[in-house]
Amino acid sequence: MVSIATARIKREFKEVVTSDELTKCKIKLELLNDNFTELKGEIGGPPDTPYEGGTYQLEIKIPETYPFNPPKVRFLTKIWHPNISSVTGAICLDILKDQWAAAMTLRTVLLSLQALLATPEPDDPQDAVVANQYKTNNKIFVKTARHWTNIYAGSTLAAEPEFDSKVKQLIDMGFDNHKSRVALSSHLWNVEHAIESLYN
Amino acid sequence: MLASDKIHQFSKFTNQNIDLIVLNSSITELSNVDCIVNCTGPCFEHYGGVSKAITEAAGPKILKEYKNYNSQFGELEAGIVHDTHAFNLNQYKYILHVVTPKHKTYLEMIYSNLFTKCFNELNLESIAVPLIGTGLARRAINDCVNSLIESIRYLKNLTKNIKIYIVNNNPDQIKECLEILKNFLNPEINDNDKDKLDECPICLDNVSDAKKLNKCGHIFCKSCIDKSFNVKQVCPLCNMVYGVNEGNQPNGTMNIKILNLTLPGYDKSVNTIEISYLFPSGVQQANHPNPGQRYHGTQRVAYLPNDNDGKKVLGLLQKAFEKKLLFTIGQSRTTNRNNVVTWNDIHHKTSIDGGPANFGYPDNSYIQRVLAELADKGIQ
Ligand SMILES: [Zn+2]
Ligand SMILES: [Zn+2]
Repeated sequence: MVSIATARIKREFKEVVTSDELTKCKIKLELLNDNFTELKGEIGGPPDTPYEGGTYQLEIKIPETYPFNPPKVRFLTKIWHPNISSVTGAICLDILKDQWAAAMTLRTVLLSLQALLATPEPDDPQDAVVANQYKTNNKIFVKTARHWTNIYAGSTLAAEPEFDSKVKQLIDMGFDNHKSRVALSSHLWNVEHAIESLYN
Repeated sequence: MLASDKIHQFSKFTNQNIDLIVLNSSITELSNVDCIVNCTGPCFEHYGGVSKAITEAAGPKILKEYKNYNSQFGELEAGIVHDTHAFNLNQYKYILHVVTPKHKTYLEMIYSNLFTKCFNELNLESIAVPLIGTGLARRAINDCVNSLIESIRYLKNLTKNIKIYIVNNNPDQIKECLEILKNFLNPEINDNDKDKLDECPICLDNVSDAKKLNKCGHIFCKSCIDKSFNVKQVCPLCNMVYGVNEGNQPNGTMNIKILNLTLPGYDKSVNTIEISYLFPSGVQQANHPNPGQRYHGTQRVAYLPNDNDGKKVLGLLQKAFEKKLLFTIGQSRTTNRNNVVTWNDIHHKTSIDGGPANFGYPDNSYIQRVLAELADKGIQ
């Protein structure tokens, strides 16, 4: 007998890939194995946000108890966002935790994640540093998020070239590329503070 | 009571030894009922016709009881059940007095307390309850009947057959009440539901062996919704709560204060959250270890750092408190005393300092541990 989980994912997969509405929203879904337990999602950064122009890859794992328990989802593409860990890609979103309901689908999840990119919730953060920056230094937050979109998510919009030169400065000192960018992003692009944090 | 007054009897209501009987009658004119309920004001003033009728029928001696109570204990508080003799209404053994609540959230607690008083403390076998608040307070019958149903569902460990009469002398209200009860027991799938049978929101296939949920009316395959309820007793579409996912923490309060001091082990910039819990003593309900017996209240204080971790834990503790999971009634681990309000496996830092040995800070792994303990109770 086919389990509910498998039957559901088959249907949901079809629902997503045949939906014109979702294609328009730049939402895609790909199967990674034959038993419908691992998928790769893709969402486009919403317009008029620092994520515009970016493409975000998502790891989706379907538990055996699906749809009674939520799918496990994390960002594979690095992103600077209060509710997504800049290190692991872990997501803080209620419907992926206790507010999950069996009637929700992968379509709901992908649309909700896209909505989360448009409306961060800094008071319920996954990444405290990013959330704090969002609240206290929103201008720098927007620039940093846009920079990450450009570097990691393939956007060709405004690249913040002075950020790149600062990262290069740290790489030249022997620090790792990504670690340097995280340190600078976390310290409002103050090179001295970033270096200090990298030495600690 | 007249045979024609009896509108409907639900035997074995909610599969327990309970007969639920709906009567279109005056609450002062029943027979074969052990006690009746008088919804009144804090000084037993007559807000509504029913309360006035009960007091007048019981006779002048009951007025003296009211006076005695007020002079001894002050006003009758919301949720407290006070029992008196029935005096001239001598077909009853007792009259149970409660204050008509200001808010509908108290209804379930009031019905529960009435049942505890009647079946566990006074050891009676039948009670006549009104539709509380639907008179002068003009509360919706729906709220009232749903609270009544929930409080009946909490009745557990009944050793004898009991009878609960719902009594009201307004035929329209009693009709509405009856419809809510019937729909609760067996929600009908009607013409409006036809298009919902095409797709079960859980398996996304045609609905087979349709089951309609009684509070929200959503429809699923019976096997699908049964599986879903095994994981979590909420409607998969609207998250309406169905089961008793709650603990048995008695009534109490949780208050938060910010203290201008830093806990050992934390940066000087981090001040401290102080949580105060207060649980007054009371009588154990049907879901406690010794229903009908008294329990001893408690007062506890706990501390958290006022940083992101601490705030996260605080939010979860508040959620666990709402779900009645933080405390329980049992034997105290520290004093061995029985029938006391005690912690329910979610550890708190009750001291500021002294380290783990003294339930205080510093303790590097405390936040991680308490998060895991909360998660074990389904709070995350
Ligand atoms: Zn189904
Ligand atoms: Zn529902």
